[in-house]
Amino acid sequence: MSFLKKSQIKSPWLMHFDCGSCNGCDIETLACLTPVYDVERFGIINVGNPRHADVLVVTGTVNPRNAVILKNIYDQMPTPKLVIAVGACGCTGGVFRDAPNVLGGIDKVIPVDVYVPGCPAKPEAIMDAVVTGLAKLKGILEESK
Amino acid sequence: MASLASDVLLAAGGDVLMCFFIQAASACFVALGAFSGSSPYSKLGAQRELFQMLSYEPIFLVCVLCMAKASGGFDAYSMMNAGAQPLLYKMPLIIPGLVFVLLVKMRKSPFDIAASHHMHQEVVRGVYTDYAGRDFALLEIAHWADVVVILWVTSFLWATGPLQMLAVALVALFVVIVIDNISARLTWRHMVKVAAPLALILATANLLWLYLE
Repeated sequence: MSFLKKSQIKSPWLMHFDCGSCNGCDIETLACLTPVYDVERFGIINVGNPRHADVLVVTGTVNPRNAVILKNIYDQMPTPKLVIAVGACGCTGGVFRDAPNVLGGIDKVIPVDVYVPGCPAKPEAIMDAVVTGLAKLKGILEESK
Repeated sequence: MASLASDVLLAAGGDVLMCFFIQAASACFVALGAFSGSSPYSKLGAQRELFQMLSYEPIFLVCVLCMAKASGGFDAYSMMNAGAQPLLYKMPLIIPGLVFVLLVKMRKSPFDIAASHHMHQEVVRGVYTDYAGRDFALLEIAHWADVVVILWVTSFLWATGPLQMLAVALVALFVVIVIDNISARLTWRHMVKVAAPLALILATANLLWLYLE
């Protein structure tokens, strides 16, 4: 693997999008950045710009209004990209799956690489999902050469 | 490429003034690229980048002129072999200016006005907003090349040996990180009206003192 591809796996920058979550999973996602878990020591940076992100972390259910925004953010990210669905709502729609305005999990709109179960998902599980996702990204990069 | 070229120029003992102009050109190109992007954040960041350049470039130029006057030549080798007495004794007043230039070039608080390391900024990533993928990765590398240039020029202040130069660079880096951690971001107005003129006046006073000596 080339130097650039290797470094891409070593330092994933991720973007967090709250797709109508109750904020439970958002708090757990942001907890990964606090001194207790501190993912920045692994080179993982939470960025505010989809054009800089390698990984999209999405929490919450999708509804017709935010589905457009979710798709837009996904399209703005450069390839290769990873999508991680966090929490029961992000995976399947959770307890809100039968609500009239809910489309379901985020895989109804964009392809998802890793699902993180839990209500809310634990920070350890979210970090594990990023590591699992990076193994998948490594596979994609190796295939692309 | 321009940033790396200025590194190579310093390593080859080339003209420090030329090195200064090359790194200024590389900073211009980044702003130019950001202006041609479609994002308003990118354009705002580019405007602020120009304000930053307006502030730090004259100070950096005066610092280089001071070093050239004291060491008797513009090439990096003559500054590195300036004699037994380190240049620092002849130019204590350029220290605030060099720290200011370092803070701006390393995009550290209080002068991370055009682009910040973190996402929680009013202009997202400012001048870098519209860069993506491999181009953005190259820009990150170029940023570090720029930092090496400025630290290298700073290390001329105590160029009695390679280890001493490395120590000066590390001390400068440490000072910048301490200031970054204890200060909040200033506005560009404060930078252009207060911080930059003060540093420039001090550095110019040092230059005049060297000429009148």
